[in-house]
Amino acid sequence: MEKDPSLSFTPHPLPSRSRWLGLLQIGLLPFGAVSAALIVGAFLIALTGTDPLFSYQKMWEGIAKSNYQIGLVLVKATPLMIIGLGLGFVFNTGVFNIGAEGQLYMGALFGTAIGIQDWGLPAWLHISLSLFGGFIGGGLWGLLPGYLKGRHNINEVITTILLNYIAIYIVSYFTHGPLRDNPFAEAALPQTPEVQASSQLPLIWPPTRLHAGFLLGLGLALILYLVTYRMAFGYKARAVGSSPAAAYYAGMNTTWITIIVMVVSGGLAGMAGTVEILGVQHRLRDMFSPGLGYSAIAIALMGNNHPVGIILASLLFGALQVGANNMQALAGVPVTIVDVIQATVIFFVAVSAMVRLYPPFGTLFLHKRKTNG
Amino acid sequence: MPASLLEMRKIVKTFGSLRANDQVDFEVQAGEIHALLGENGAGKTTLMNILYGLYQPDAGEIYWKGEQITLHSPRDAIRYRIGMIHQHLMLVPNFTILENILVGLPSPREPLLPVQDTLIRLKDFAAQYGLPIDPTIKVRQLPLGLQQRVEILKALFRGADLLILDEPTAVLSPLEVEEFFAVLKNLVGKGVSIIFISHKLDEVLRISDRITVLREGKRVGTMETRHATQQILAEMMVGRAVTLDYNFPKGRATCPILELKGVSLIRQKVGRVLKDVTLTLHSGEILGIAGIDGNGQEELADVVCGLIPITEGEILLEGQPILNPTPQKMKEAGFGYIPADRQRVGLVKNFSIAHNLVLKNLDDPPYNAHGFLRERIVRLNAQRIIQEFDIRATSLEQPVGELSGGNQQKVILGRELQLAKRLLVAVHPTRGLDVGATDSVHRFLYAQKEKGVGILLISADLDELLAMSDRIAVLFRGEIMGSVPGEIESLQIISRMMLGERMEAIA
Repeated sequence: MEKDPSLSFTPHPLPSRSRWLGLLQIGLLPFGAVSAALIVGAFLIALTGTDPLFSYQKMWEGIAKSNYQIGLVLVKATPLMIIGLGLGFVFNTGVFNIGAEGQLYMGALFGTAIGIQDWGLPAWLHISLSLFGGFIGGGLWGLLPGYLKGRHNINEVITTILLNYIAIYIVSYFTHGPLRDNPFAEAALPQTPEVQASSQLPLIWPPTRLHAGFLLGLGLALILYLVTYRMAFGYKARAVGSSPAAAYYAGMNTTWITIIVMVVSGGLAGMAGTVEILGVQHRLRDMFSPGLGYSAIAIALMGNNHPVGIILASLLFGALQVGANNMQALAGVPVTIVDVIQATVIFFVAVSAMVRLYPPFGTLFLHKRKTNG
Repeated sequence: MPASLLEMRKIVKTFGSLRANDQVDFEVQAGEIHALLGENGAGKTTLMNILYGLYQPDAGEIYWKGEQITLHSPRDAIRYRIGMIHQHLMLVPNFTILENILVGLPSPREPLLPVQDTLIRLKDFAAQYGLPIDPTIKVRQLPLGLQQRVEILKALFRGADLLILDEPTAVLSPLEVEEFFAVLKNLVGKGVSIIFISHKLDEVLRISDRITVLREGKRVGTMETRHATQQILAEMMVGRAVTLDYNFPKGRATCPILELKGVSLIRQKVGRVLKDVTLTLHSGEILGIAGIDGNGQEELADVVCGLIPITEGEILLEGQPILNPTPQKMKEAGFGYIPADRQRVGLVKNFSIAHNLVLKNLDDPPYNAHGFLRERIVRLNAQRIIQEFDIRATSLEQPVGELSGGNQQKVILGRELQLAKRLLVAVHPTRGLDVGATDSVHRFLYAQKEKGVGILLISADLDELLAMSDRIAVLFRGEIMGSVPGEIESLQIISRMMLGERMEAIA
């Protein structure tokens, strides 16, 4: 009847296996998700009467045929990477910021507003000011839901989604009104004037389109890695995410931590918006983002909220996008089908990541639900 | 011997390396209230989940009304007229009582629901079982006690000869418990048999006809309630003589460290949790707090450690009032806190042992330099504590969630005893631990007392309190009923205070 006391001290045998399994899943799930999306895509392409294999060959050529194409992949990956880094940071804290799209727009607005000013500043200063402005714009758009969540526990998913619409329409107002380029011209587009040359991000790998924003993204990844895994703040933020009750008990200011990570996450999305303007588009257009802030959610999930994973995931998404454009141009696959394939990738990636990160969510789909005893 | 309504024979159920049920025999006679008694983790709920078809046993047989049956899911159990009321009620709050009951019923006119017919039948039925209610009221408007009655009504209406009640009184106030027991007696009168799962001795003694005790997954024994006493049952539950054989000398208290003066706590939706609590804790003293679970003990601990602000009263530390206490402030004042829920509150399960050991010191030197965590010092600290507290783990980096309960508790002890320079609050510090781990926790607590630290020991285990405490105060519905010396002679008076008698009234 009496249990041997030493027996109960042996560590649980499961963990090593589950850790191994976890690593395998981190590697395999995205691979499986992309494969699944490509298979679905192949059927869709076949339905339009085009040869799927030929189309995918064009897709691959679009990604890796030349340095120019590779540069394009990196350019496409840059904003996704920067937004994804911020989202990974905030997801670690258990706050589900869906508002990156709106934060991106607000950041782009602030950054552009500074970038178009002719202040005669040196490039390094003008660029820094614009990027800082972008961070502030996005950060403010993260502060509001962060405060509501941290202080009053108001669901951030709802507030951030609603704020997305507000931000997009605010930008719409400015591009149609106060910041409109050449407003009296006959066919004026809803867009701002070009940003000053002094605020445009320099190209770093001519003749490709690759600009300095990519290096900025890599630098931010390093900083976020250090903050999350080396600094006390990162430990606190992750403690709040995985065990809020324990974090509070341990004396952490969970309200502040929630607000700060939301501001940083929003700020990075805003900075990404500015980078996209200063590095690629050079003017802020109405509805300029093709849902970058939403794609970045899938990227953060796919990258397991880890900076290295996020860099890899954003490169993959950049490649898919550039490849898909090439497939459209050279294989004649309709643009709508290309969009569907991209959305399918995001769908599969998001589902696979949710299954991995949030087991209760996964068990809903994969296993018979267990009632706890 | 009359044929049993239910017989479970040699039931075995394992989860990983844990044998939750080990060759358990259990039988219920028609028309009896059979209590299933045991500590948390003794395997009561597992056994009942097997009976309700939620788990499949690894071995063993179930006989129902004389026939062997196999239960694949609750649907099978319901078909055999077995009903289960879970500890956490499973009603849809925004549905009316009628709608909640309709949801699980087959309809004679699918896909339509027989709303009117059921309403009439339900009213008759409820009155017949002495559960008069208006079925058109929304469930969320009902107090918990009535919601529970709706659950019972739902099970009976579907047809049940046997009702399994999993810790049904846990959500009830004492007054509701009285009414609830009357309902149970009435049900038995109508021919329903009841399995009553509980770890509360007094309730079991009052309501049941027979008692089966489980311990560590095994059946210890079954007896008729009229032959049972608290003493016998307690020994069967914990498996050792009620007096622990410690020889901890009871120290004389020196100077007061912590004083609570007229502390009250009112929580939203719950009401008054602590009422006019006045206590003094001296350095080098262990003050035990006894009471039946849920009488304000855990809130008292949270209040002292700054997790919940008090509504009224004063908390004094060495004579100085503490204004706006926070967990951070209390930590800095030299308070350690071993919380009741070690997995959810005490630890961050996916952090390593080393990082859990510095969870409260992430911002403090020497672990923090310019915002960065100094991993080398964090590891050195962990090595020292792992050695000192004999924590068994594969490495410093092992996530704490992978450790056994005893080792998890030692991680918390290792962290909190360092912080507890003046005062330690320990809530159920040995709950769920085996004998060896319990023993070492007790020794660590005692060593801390000898260093002059005051200890507030909150426990539901009277033996532990009697063995460790210099004084024991008893909480009942958030009020202190009185305090007595921590001696075995106090047992009688403590038990009576736990049931709500004031010390003045007893003495």
